[in-house]
Amino acid sequence: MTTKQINKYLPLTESSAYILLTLDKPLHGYGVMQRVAALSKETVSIGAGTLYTAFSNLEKQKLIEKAGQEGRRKLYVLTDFGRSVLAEHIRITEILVNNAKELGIFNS
Amino acid sequence: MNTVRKFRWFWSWNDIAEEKWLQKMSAQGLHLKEIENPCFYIFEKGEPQNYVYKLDYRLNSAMFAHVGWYALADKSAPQKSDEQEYFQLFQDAGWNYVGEGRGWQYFRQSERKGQNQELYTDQASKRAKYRRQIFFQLAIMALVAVLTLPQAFSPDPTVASPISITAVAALVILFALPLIPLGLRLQKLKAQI
Repeated sequence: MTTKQINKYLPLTESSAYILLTLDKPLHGYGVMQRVAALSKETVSIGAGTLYTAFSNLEKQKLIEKAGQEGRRKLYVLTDFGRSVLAEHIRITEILVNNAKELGIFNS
Repeated sequence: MNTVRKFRWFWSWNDIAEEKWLQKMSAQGLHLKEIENPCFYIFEKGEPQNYVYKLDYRLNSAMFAHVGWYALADKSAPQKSDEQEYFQLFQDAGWNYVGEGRGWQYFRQSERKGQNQELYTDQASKRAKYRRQIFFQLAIMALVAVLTLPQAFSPDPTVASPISITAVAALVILFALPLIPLGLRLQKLKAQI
């Protein structure tokens, strides 16, 4: 895994970042929707069409993989590569957030 | 009979108008039950409901069964696992599946004021939906063109019949012209980022 390969997928869209974040353990689509809503304090909602599209894209890009089935629902989980991409995305975002805090321009 | 059959022409760029029309019908107590391809709508009479309708573009095996390609997809055969996963996900998200028409999958749920009731919540996946639609429209267009153009432009006047010329005109009106509004919409979605 080179930095170049990782950078190809950066920056992640907000929905992709949240979907990856919820897939640290195997989870099905319904679980992802609920966890994203809860984790983001309802600031991000992911529609069924968007999630289905994201699953197939992220799987093609090998950021996630299938991890069994629960009834009719397929489970997905982060791959090691997906974990590296997410980690890099978080690192970059953190720099941005810290800069904003240090500059204090949004403190009122 | 407790059902009503209505004819309505569906232009391929009009999916959002279609959603609003079905919502209005349900508010009058006419709930979509089934679509007879290409343009007949079967409604069930009932109590007026505040339903939100949403359309997704995706080909499924039932669609092939509609057009009679039973060799490709047997309606009684179990759904493929991808398809199962697709419908399960929409059901989990609270969408009731109504049916399919011209490659569009029709879903509905009760209206919930102040809540996001979209199937597509980001620009990238919304664009992908319309790209799928344009792709399949181009594929059908190419197929029809291959079948009709050689006859329409044949130098032999007995081959270039009024029928084959009509077929070419239909090809242009049904498939080629709609590509303009469809392309413009994709362009507009790109600009919104």
